[in-house]
Amino acid sequence: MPVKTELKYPIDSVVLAIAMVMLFLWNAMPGICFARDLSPVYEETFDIAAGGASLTRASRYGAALANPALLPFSGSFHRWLGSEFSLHINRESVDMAKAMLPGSSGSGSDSSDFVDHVFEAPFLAGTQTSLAYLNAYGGIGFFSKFEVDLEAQKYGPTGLPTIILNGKSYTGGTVSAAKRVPFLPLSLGLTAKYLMISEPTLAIDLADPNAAAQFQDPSALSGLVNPSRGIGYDMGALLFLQGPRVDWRWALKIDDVGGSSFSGGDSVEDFKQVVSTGASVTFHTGKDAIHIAVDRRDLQNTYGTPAFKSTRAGVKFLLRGYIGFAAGYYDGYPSYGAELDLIFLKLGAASYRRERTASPGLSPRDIYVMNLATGF
Amino acid sequence: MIPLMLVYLAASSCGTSNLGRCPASNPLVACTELTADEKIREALDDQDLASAQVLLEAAIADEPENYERYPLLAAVYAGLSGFNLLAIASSSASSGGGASIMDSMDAFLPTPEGLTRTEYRAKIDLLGQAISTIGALPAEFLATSATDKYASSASQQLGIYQAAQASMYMKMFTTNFSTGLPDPSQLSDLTDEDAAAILTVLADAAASGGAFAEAAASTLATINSGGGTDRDNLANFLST
Repeated sequence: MPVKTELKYPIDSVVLAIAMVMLFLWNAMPGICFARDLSPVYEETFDIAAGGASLTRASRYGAALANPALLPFSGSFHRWLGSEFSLHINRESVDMAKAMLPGSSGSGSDSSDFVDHVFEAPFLAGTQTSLAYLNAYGGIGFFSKFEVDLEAQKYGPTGLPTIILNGKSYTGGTVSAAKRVPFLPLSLGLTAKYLMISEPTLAIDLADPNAAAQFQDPSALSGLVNPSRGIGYDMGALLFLQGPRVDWRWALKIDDVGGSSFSGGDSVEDFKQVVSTGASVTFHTGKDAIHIAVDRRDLQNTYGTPAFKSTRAGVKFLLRGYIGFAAGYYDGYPSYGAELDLIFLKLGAASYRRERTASPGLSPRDIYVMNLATGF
Repeated sequence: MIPLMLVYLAASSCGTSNLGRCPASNPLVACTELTADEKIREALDDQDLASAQVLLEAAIADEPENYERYPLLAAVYAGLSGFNLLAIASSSASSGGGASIMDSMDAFLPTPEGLTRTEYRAKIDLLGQAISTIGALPAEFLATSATDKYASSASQQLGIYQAAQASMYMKMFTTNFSTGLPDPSQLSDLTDEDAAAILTVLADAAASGGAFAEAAASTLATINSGGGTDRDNLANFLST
């Protein structure tokens, strides 16, 4: 996690302002706004720990999807070559696993015990993997994210006990290109992404024997995952004012420029174009840094995003280039985590609470994330 | 400044409450008011049935044509009566056959033990409210063969609540309220009006086509095979 201290280019504030205003105006033109929600298809563990405020600083492959304009300011030509694996699981599921372990008070369990646990607390588990190469001018990457959320309601949507399954399967590849604007502390980046997305939702009324029997056949469950495919483009800009001890960054990001359409499969709703901005300040020495960032997502409120979801803020403490601590504010709740950088091996962990809907406090999930990255 | 703001944000949420909840806990994040349906869902998830009842009754009064709320209110009434919806869901598939309705329902109903007759009667009336709430749905929202999940579920609920009410009604005259044990002497309190009401509910349950329809029909047939008055037939059935 190197920290740059050198100011490369002089600032021409007039030219800079014109560039930014042009970017805003282009975005504000009528007829190009299109949509869904703000759930990221890929998010790095350390960035989650820092509240998800990743527009002005993102880890590894996360930069390509958070803001491709970050790539030129990596401090060197090479940025990242490697793979990552992360496991996401909610706190209640960890407790459930402990209770069901042999020798514990809840051991000797069967599937009915699992259902009983689900009626007590939801079950969430997921994985995220990626393989990528990024440098200061762009890169290529592949990712896959899969998540299952199982919730049982004694009083379900129809009044009777119901098990609700929400799945998310995001797989894709990205190609990014980025470039500094000559003579300006400004970079622009573009990421083209091919996505295969499936978001199956299923509600099983437990009082209805026919509904329950319908899903005892494994093929009925596997048939739920039928991905839709589409191509989208993300565009970003980053203004980077660098000083000997303090850096300032301002980012503008347009997700799914012009909207991203999907076809086939379960007919996932199109991704709307979303404009976001972020600002940060970094206090640093040659080796250590404190990065404080705030993002405001969905400036045009395309998805009707409430403030607690569209506001992300966090702090990253980077010590000696080997250890990082992060804390932030994610979906209206505190988040925190740490990362250990052992040159070719990076271990990370984070804890955060995600609000599954746009209703604050209605359906939160306490999630632990463990991350293993190999590369350099 | 920004770190102080973050600390302030984290401290005001205490890690458990969402900063976006109303009333606003701090001036930095605008709060988001929950809709009526979201407040209902929250009360149901918390199993705060008293609050859910108040919210649902108000929501139905405001929008009587939002029929998705009716089965929810019926389920709340049933829950308030002590009816165990979760247990019945897990065993509904195995019910039916030749078992009497009381045998089928016994495990899911509140026991009269420790209650007064008035208190137990109030629980039966709550099930009656559940039945009438479902009964207020238009026909298209109450169809056993409907593919619409709300209509299908509402129809199932109606049959379950009718069977449960009939069973609770009968239990009132077969159980000692002090001990909770079977007590045939309680049958002396059974009136002609009680018998008529029980047989009417039982007939409705038999006609519902729900999971307990077969048990209700079988019970009704056994009772009516007595050949006497409704009261005598029912008393004979309950005394065996």
